[in-house]
Amino acid sequence: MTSSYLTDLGLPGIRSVPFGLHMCSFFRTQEELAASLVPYFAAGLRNNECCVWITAPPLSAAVARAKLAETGVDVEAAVKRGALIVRDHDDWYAEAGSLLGNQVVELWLGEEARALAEGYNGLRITGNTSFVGPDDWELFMEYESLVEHAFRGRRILTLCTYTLEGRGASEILDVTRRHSCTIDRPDTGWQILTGWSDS
Amino acid sequence: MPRIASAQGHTSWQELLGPATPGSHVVQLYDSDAFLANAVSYFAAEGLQRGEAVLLTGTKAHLDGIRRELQGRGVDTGACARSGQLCETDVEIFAAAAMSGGALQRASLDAALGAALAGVRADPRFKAVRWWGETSNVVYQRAGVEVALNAETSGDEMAKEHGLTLFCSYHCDRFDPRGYEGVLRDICCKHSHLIPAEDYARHRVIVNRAIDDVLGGLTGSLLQSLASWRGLHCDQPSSQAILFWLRDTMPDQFEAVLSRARAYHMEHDPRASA
Repeated sequence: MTSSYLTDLGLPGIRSVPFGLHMCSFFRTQEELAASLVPYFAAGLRNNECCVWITAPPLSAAVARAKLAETGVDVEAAVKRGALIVRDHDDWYAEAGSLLGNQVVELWLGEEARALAEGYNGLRITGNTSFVGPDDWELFMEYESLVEHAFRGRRILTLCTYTLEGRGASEILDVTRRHSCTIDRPDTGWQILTGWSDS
Repeated sequence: MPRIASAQGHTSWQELLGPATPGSHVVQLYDSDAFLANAVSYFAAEGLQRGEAVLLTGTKAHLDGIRRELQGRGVDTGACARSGQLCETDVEIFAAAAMSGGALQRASLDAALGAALAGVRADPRFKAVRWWGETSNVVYQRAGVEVALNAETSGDEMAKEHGLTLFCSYHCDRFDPRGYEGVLRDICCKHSHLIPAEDYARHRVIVNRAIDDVLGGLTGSLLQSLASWRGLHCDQPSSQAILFWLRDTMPDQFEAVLSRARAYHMEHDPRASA
């Protein structure tokens, strides 16, 4: 498996990114969250990638599907043929919630294998982490460290979104150092920011 | 919420000081002798339990405190000492070897360290060697940071060459902004891991509150600056690392943040000296 394949991230200002990238982004409102994830998945579907969107407040699965449809994507058809999965985190974790972190990683690697076997160019995923509370924070950061290492060189593109509500400065640094890069939109265009990485 | 298996990085000093990690060089910033004795006795007890040789190099007062803590953890320190598994040495031996006329005597220090290590390394009963010491701290207090950092280099090279797990303690006021102008960063650069506080969760709360008070939330250009920050070559909790970032990025606000952090620290623990 190689990560030399490039793909369109879908965000204005960033032309292409390699598969295997594990990115993070911060948001305050539903609009800010949708502004990154809707074009991200529209591009994934255009590029024949299998797209898995795990949603959480402030953006539900139903609203996510509706916003994606507004861009011209035939959401129903994409869901029907298996190219797009949009699920609320409560629903998804009802199945995955008892797994250990490395088992969750294996689950994603299994999804990647399935996607490639079915002829997709790769797997594109996101998780909105607003459901992660203070008691689960350290464990979730360990999971992010596992993902950062395990997805390298894989045909997987990952964008983890973090609300700034209730997150202190230390938590923000926890997140950025466990991802390959941070994507941010300082004004009209998006940028990729790379900083401290534990790896 | 899935439960997560162990991964990289450390979230508590107990996690860091438990297993042997050959070649690692950990530093503790302590503001009370109780924290020093607690951490060092944990480090030593874990090593003894795992069949490793443990060397302790400290002041008499610290060694006495560590011994009491070890006994409190159920360790028969007398038996361990008689068997050769636990060796205590007076830090003054190494400090004297290290310093002469205010300069580091590297060859003399290397010889003293090597001699102390030779006995336990040659003993096949021991799976590994872990060593706690405060030579550099003593040297730092008496001869300044340059000599102390050179002594750290000796220790670091020895740890890597012989696969030791090395643990140092520095008496340090982590809320003193003057420390961030050089000595703290220099100490970090000489170590693989930093233990900044006894209670990591509390340290995080204190630092977050102080930053919130002074700067408000991290958004816009501040967020971009943090996401682009290259960090330090020393594993440490984000709540400590972010203070180094703040010192680099917003030196004008840094003192106010540390002052707030100190106030919260004292509020929580009025006995604290730092």
